[in-house]
Amino acid sequence: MSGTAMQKSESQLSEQTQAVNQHTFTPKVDIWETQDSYNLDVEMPGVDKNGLDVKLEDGVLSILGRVAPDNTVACEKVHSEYETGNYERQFHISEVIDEEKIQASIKNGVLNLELPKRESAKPKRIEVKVG
Amino acid sequence: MYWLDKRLINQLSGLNQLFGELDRSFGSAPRERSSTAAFPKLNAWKNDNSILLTAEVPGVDPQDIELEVQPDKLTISGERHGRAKVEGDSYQRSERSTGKFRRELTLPFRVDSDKVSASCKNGILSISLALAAEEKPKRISVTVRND
Repeated sequence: MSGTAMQKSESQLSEQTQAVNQHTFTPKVDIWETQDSYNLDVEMPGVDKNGLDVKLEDGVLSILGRVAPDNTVACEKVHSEYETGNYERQFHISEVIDEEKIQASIKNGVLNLELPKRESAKPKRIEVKVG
Repeated sequence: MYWLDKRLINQLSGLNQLFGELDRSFGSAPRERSSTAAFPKLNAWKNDNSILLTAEVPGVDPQDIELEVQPDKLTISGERHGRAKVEGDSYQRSERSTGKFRRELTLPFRVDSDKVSASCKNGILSISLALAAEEKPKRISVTVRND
């Protein structure tokens, strides 16, 4: 019976902690352009795919990552070098992106985005046929 | 209490790491959130029986992390590999860092080096260290006999 009571108070505590936890960090990014696409690697340790919210609206790419709650609430924090919180960053993209073909994946806390350029925006190559 | 005292001692002796850092990472990352360039950054939690360390290791393959535990020392080392750059690609931002890292920590308590477990999820490394018997609060267990 005391076990159940303990679990209950822990879960209440973790909800409170989440509500109080309002830090928002600017994640580090690498951005590179290839002939066909724009690519981003975004560092968001602690975020899984369920915590991700990526939007492209009116040429603004918004990236939001919510950190999954951890289960360390019951312990006493004795040393702290980093704080946890959500990640948020926005970028303007002048190039026309093919929104239907945006690819996103997250691995080891790094989000990878591939934003393919629209056909019309790609450099045109005209093949010369040898007749 | 002990931790506060330890922190004070470290500050007085010019160290800025609570764990008494011996070595520093040699990644090329000057853009950290806080003033130290140590990688990975660590948090620590404690209960009666164990210590839990968590470290931010985004982009590090868990297989590239190596841990070495001694009763009063923990070494975390490894390498964060970057993406192979393709000729013709142009980088517009390059804020993330790669390379080898190593942190050697002196623990302010003795741990049972046989009882260590570690896991890595979403770029967070978690290391659980069982406190050595002499560090645990003493408990007397009472066996109830039903006969």
